[in-house]
Amino acid sequence: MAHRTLIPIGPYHPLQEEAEFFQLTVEGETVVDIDVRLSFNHRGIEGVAMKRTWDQVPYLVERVCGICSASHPLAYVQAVEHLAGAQVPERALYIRTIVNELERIHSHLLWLGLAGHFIGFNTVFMWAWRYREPVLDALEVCTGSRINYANHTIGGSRLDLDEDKVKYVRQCLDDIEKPVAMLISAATEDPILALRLKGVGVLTEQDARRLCAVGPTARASGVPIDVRRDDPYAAYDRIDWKVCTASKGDVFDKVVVRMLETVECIKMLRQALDDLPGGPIQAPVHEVPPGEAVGRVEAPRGETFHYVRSNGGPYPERHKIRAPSYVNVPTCKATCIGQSVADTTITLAAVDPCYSCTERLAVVRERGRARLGFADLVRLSREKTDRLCRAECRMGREDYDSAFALRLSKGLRRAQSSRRAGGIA
Amino acid sequence: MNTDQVKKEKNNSVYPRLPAIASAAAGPSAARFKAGTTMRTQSALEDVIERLKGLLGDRSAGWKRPLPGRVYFTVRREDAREVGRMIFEDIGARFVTASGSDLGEELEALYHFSLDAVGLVVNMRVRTPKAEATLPSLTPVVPAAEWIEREMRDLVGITFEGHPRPERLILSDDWPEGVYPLRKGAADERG
Repeated sequence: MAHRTLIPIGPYHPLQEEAEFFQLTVEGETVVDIDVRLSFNHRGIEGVAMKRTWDQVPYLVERVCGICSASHPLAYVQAVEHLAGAQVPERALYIRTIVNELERIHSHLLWLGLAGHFIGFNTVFMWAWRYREPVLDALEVCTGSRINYANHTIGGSRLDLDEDKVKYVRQCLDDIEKPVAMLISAATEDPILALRLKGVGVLTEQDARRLCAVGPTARASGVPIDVRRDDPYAAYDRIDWKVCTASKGDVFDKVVVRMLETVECIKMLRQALDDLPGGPIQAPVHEVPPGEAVGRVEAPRGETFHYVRSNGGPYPERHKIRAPSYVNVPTCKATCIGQSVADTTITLAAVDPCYSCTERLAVVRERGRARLGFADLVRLSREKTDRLCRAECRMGREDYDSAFALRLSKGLRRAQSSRRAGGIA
Repeated sequence: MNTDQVKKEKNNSVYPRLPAIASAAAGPSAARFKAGTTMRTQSALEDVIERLKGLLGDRSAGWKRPLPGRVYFTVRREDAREVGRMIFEDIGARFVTASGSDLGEELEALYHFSLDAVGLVVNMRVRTPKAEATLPSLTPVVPAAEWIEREMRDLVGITFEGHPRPERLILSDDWPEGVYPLRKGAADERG
């Protein structure tokens, strides 16, 4: 009698690019179920934090995420400052605001580039990442590093901003403001992008509240929550800004919310740089008494939550870290089901999952036919864009992309010549 | 536009939209949180805390308020799910996460909720003796608690009764049973 053996393939396998993360069940072209497996990159940071001294932990937690690396240390140091009763000097509050808002700009631009990449518009990708560079340069000038700034300390800020640095950041904002505004208006007014993104991956307000989503994912569904306004920290209650929301909750609205926030960030940064008060940047904190405290920060992806408990010793007794993607990624159950397979990459990317979680997709077809990997799903996504381009404009995706690029560069040249100032060529 | 019409038909027939996951009423918060309304005043904060205390009554004990916007209290195991439901549905708070820890004799799950309208963090503490290590799951009434309860089971070893999907989330499939990394005295080769 024949002996049957079941050979499991994955999550790690020589033929696959990376560990499986999302698993979709499809019927025909429609996704009927989605399962998430995670923790392939779990590093046990909470456990490590319990063996580091209070002032070592910020340098540890900023490595939770490479792109929210100003938000995690800020949430932690705020919790410890609550415990220690520390009064952070006002100048340090403004410096914290400046670093975190610069981080928000470069995170949103990175995401916009990736969204364009998944759809197949490499112009959006190239432009967004091109105009992200000055922001990273500004962060490097201010803190010494493009990511992982090591700037937020318990009771203040590690580095100060002198006149030259302030001038450099102002110049960077001037340089990117026009090109980013042009990219945003070109992308949001583009008919193909609208066809591709509107009505896709809709997260209703009910589901956003029921699943407790945070950040732009929630704000795009009409849930107006933002930690900077709801539980003010740093200098956010001292500058004039507004919470950006949209109502339909589809991927297009998530694009719109993130781009509105980017424009808002530039305004906030200008105010913070103008109002930067004098004074010290570090309050003395010598010990952390017993107790428990919570620190929260609005990271680019949503609310980052740190809970810290102290027993009076040199190490935290318990440190709980919750990144925003932890509540945003499960919304995929509400957004992906019922859609076509070609829309899956952009729907999953729309919650901006932090890449330290990895995201490789796998599709399991009914009756065990060949699996599709991540590369195949991106290809399907780009093919859908190509079909839309041919149906609407009678040209292929790449030609449409080139025309888009040409429009953008012509617009930029016009803007530069009318300004008669040295811009970015 | 022609494509719009085609798209509409497609939405009805070729790509049937499965109904959005039916959700329980989001609670009174849904109407209150419309963009533009703000209740972020000191009196509103005090009102909400009074209302919370009144609603929970003698189900909660050991109230602490180390900061104006932070309250901590303890509930008994039997009341945990009902109190969680009241905070989520009746008061309309958003579930944030839960912190599981090993206190020596007991295991603790500290559930964190956020009332964004007034900037309040509500922390609900539930404890269980280590010998029993079980707590009622909040997931049937607070769907967003599903992942964190699975994580607490993996890392601290608390079993959540009534959890719809008590599978591993954080630990790998070949991690040995009964070894909980966040318990006191758990071995860690990294030092």
